[in-house]
Amino acid sequence: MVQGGLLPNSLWRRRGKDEHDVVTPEGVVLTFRVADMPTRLCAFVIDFIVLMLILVLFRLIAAALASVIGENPWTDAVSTVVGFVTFNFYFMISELSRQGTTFGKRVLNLRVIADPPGPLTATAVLARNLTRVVELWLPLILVVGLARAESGTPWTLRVLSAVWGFLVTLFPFFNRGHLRPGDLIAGTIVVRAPVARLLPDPASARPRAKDADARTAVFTREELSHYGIYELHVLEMVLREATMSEDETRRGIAVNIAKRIGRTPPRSPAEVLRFLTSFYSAQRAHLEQEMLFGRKKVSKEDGAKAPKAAAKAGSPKRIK
Amino acid sequence: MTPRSTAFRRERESAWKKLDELTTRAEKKGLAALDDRDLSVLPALYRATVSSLGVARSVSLDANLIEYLESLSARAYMVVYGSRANLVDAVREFTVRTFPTIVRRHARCILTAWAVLLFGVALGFALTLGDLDRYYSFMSPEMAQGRGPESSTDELRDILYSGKHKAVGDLSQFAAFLFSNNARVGMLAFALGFAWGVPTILLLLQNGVILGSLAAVYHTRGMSLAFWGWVLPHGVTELTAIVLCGGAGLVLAQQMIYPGRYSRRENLAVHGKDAGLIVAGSVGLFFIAGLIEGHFRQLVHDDRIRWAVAVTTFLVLSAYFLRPRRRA
Repeated sequence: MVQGGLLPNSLWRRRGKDEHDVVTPEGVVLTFRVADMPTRLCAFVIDFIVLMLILVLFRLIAAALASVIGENPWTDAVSTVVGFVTFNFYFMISELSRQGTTFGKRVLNLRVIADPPGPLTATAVLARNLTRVVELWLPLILVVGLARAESGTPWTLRVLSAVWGFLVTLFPFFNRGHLRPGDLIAGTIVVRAPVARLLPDPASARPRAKDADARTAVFTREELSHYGIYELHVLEMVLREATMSEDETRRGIAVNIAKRIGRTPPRSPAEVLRFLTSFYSAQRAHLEQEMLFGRKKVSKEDGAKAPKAAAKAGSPKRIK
Repeated sequence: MTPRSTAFRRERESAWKKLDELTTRAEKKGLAALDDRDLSVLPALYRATVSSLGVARSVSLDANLIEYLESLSARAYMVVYGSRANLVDAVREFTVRTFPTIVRRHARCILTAWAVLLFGVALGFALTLGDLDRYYSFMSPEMAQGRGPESSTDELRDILYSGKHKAVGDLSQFAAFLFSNNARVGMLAFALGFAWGVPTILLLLQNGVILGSLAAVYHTRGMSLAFWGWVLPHGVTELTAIVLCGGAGLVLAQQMIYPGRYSRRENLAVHGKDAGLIVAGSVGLFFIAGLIEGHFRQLVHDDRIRWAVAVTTFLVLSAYFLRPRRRA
């Protein structure tokens, strides 16, 4: 079956639990990975430090002003207001003007997107940040209230409210999208957006006609029908990281392939590289052609069992 | 033999590189970094890339290419469909449109919360007038802070106007404490709405009774006017905020008790957002109330000014929430 281009191709990637699919208005499904808690905590800590520095700066300015103007109750009030406003608005302003990132989030490649997919509205950014005050202070307030022995409310209520306060702050740990209560209200989610690099295509090297191997670089259909897509991707990884993988590994793979398809194995490292590159081109062209006709060969066992994620780079040895 | 996808890639690679460059610039410096020409080609490039992704998924077996296109499409999606408003617009939209609309949508629950609170005030007032000792069963010692039916009239008066003796630096801490204390009551009232609204109603009643009880003590000394002038400047805002939180809790309770057509979970999801937005908006009201209570009240002692501020806040809030609005 030809896999539709609208759906993410999970053929060689096992779908993890942290994947979040977004159907864009164009009808294509993009897969994001939900940010995990350690990453989010790190981003928050970085932002918090930046915020504290800004607040300290404001305090210094206020103190300098106070020494000039003199002790004035209104400067105190103004600095309280400024502190509160800065605390909330730092996150809000960043997320609005930078498409859902703040400095800390950008360092770790995190972004805020809307959960029913669509534009990230300003109200959503506002709502998700207004609750930060609650999430940060609530457990402190409630624990302090718990510690005070004499209070109007009965102790069961105070214990319950302290527990609830902790649940509010630790809420992201308990749900799948790692949503804060602010995310829940505003309909947003924080995802990872790593930047991938486009590497050169190993199949685009043109074979030189004068090469002695040029004739033997043509593979027959029979020879190309042994391996499947999984092995192709492993070979692609080996070829891409040609500087990192060792000659021995490549030679071992080339020998295995040659044995399986019934050819003389190449000897020198240069021959090995040429053999693997031309085999890769031919194999890929063959498999793509077959895929177009609906004959998709997943692996050399012919799709009998699902392949493991090709991200495990240690598996070149599996090509036999 | 070269695969077809190689030719496919060669044709389209320049478009992807251009989109990559634009996206990176937008990510680093915001959309403002792109000039008009870039902005006009951005959507077309994005759609071309997304379409390339679709084709590549069907046709190509180059894993790196597909990974790259997925990443680029995702990043471009976030740039194209990211937020475009600035902060001023956002705050304006929230305060002018969203917040009042949601409050009016749940007017019944909020008015119920008001009624409970006012009933509590009346109850506390009447009960304490009947027997002054009841004051001690309503007020805990730490909230009373040494004032009660046994204090002298001078002591009671002192409390209303005691700001003269407070040091300036303490005021902010005092304001912060009040803000957090009042916010705590509000958050509790909202949160415990899950428990079918019973704790919310009890909390509103309790706060009303405490207030009414204290009012009764001052009433017996003939200082009612001064007392309410002390409470109401911040009290109007603060009580509104508490009532909003309580009302939001009752919204949740209502979804638990009368789910209507949808399941309880679906109901909570939809109305939980509304209730959460109400609470988010009332954080702002708590802050204003805390400022007035912490700073203004200690610095201004003239009863007329205090009453003027109280009436002003009442009128402003009424106009804000009750202003008739065109159906948008």
